[in-house]
Amino acid sequence: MINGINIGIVLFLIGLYGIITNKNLIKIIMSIGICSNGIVLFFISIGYVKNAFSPIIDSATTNVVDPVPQALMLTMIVINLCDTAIALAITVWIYKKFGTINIEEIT
Amino acid sequence: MIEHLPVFFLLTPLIAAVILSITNIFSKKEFIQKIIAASSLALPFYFLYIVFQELNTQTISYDVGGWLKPYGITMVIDELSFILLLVTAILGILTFIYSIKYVKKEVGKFYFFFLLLMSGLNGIFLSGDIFNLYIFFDLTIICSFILITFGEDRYSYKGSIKYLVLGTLASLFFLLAIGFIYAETGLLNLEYLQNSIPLISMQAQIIIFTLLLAAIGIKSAIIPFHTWLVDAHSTAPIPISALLSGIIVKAGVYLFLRINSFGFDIPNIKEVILFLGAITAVGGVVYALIQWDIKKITASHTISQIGIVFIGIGTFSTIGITGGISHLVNHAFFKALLFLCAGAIIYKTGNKDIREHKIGMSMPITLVLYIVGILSISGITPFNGFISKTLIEQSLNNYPFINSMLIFTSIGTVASFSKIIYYSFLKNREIKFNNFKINEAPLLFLIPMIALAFLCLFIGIMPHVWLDTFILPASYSLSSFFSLNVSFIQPASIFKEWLIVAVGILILFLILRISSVVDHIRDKISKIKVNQSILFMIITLIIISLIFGVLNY
Repeated sequence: MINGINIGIVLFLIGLYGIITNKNLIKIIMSIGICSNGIVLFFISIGYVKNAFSPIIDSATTNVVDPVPQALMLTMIVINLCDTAIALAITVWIYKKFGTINIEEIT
Repeated sequence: MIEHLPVFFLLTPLIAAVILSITNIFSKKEFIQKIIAASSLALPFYFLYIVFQELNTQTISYDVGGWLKPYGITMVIDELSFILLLVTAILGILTFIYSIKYVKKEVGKFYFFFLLLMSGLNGIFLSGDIFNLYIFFDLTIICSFILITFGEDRYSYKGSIKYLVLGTLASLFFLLAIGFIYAETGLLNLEYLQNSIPLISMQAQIIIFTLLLAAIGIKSAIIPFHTWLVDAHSTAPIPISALLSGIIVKAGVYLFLRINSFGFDIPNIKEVILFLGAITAVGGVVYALIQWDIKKITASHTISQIGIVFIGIGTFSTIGITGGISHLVNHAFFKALLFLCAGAIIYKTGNKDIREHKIGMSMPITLVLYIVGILSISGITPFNGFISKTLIEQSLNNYPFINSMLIFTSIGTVASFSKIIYYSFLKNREIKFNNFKINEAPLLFLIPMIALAFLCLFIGIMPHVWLDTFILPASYSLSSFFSLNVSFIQPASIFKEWLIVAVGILILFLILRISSVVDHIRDKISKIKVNQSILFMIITLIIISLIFGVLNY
């Protein structure tokens, strides 16, 4: 029961819970980060094969892990970095303009 | 050159954006930057011309880097992609012309993100595998977060952060769905997935479809996933509002059309989509009826029109899908026109509240163009909205309840736009008819507005030219071939449309009578928090998956 796929989904749900319950913008952004980490774990676990080698062709190794999810996740991590950076930048602007980062008090 | 064509769509705005940002360092002359942006936005029309000639024989596909199909990255242009690329190109160049006069501060940065946005949009419509769709979706929404903050007041930051939280959540749901798809099938290519999705187990199909529905719902603002839209679209700068409502929201619908062709075989799927579409259509109109802000009214109508598109596609019949695609394109044109006209009004009066415009007859060209937009969105006969509404109504013969919802939506649309006409133009006019002074919007505002109004009128007067050339091939590429024999101009339907207009104006007077109740409802709605809306969204998703019967298998 405890494998990467399940823990990835549980992490995603924890992040979702964080987004719903928190009012502080920084905490919401951190919760989004937890969500995306859960997804990274989920994807990497899809490609995992027990006792297999890394997918580099050097000799006659035939049992290798699936390289596609790893490639996808490298892309996703970069995009997510962008997303987080912009979210934090907008949070700074909001603090300058409104004087608060509580999402319920921005009116 | 022809085999490399799909990449050029992507690279032209991207390279122009890079060159533009470099020139921005060395010289502050806005003139050069505008020429770079204009040329890169005009070039796609030439590519589209070549693609159009090629599409008669085959769909164009390109393997990036030479990796072959099920595993490599492919770019595909079929008829559906072509029509959306065409709309993107048209709206891109027109909103650019509008923004020359509109954007005054930080021009270099604005056009940099504008061009990146165009690149991302072209990428969405080109990409032939589902993970690339995610990448370009994220590129598009990241650029829109930034572009929204170029708006005129500080509320644009609020709209941007709301969109950011929900848009990122949509991307994460989409990514989770991609993960499940890859785990079940081992494929990412859209073309190959069509054969392998129907083979996987029903429970997995339901989970994948529900997650995709969450992503699509947030991106294209289906109620109850819509809470970001009104804030974000009404606080963005006007050209970006037109682009957001015109084409970025449609990217979600495009994703829905693509996953429709996977052939999910889920019970109750048709009813759920039709019900969501009907709620969205009616709810958007109710939103619009209680607002006084001209941009908020226009933005709320985006929700209701997206609902109509979903009703059309949700029938899963060929005529309904044709109507849906047609309405998607028509909505892009008339909603952009309405936003640009609203921008011209705000530019001249400096106020968003329709009660304080007091324009009178001083902006005759804008008034005429605005009325063209309103007649189009209400579906009155010689304008483009009625073509697609007729097609969607034809597909709803077996669903009288949904059809009545559609009529109610039309009535509400007429009522809320009559409110704008009445308050902004007719009521409180200080300038009398005999000695009015013409104080028209600048020419660079009027050119794109006239072009869009011409397109609305052209599609409405000659529907068969437009439908046969662009829309019908697109719907054939999604479902089976059929011959369209709908006669559009009928005396009975014209009578019905004008009856709807009369009832709409009547309802407007009723609503103005009970304005204290309306104010109360508006306060209640404005108090809904982001957290509550996300919780409500997740509850809705769980209910939808239970309706699909996720526990039965």
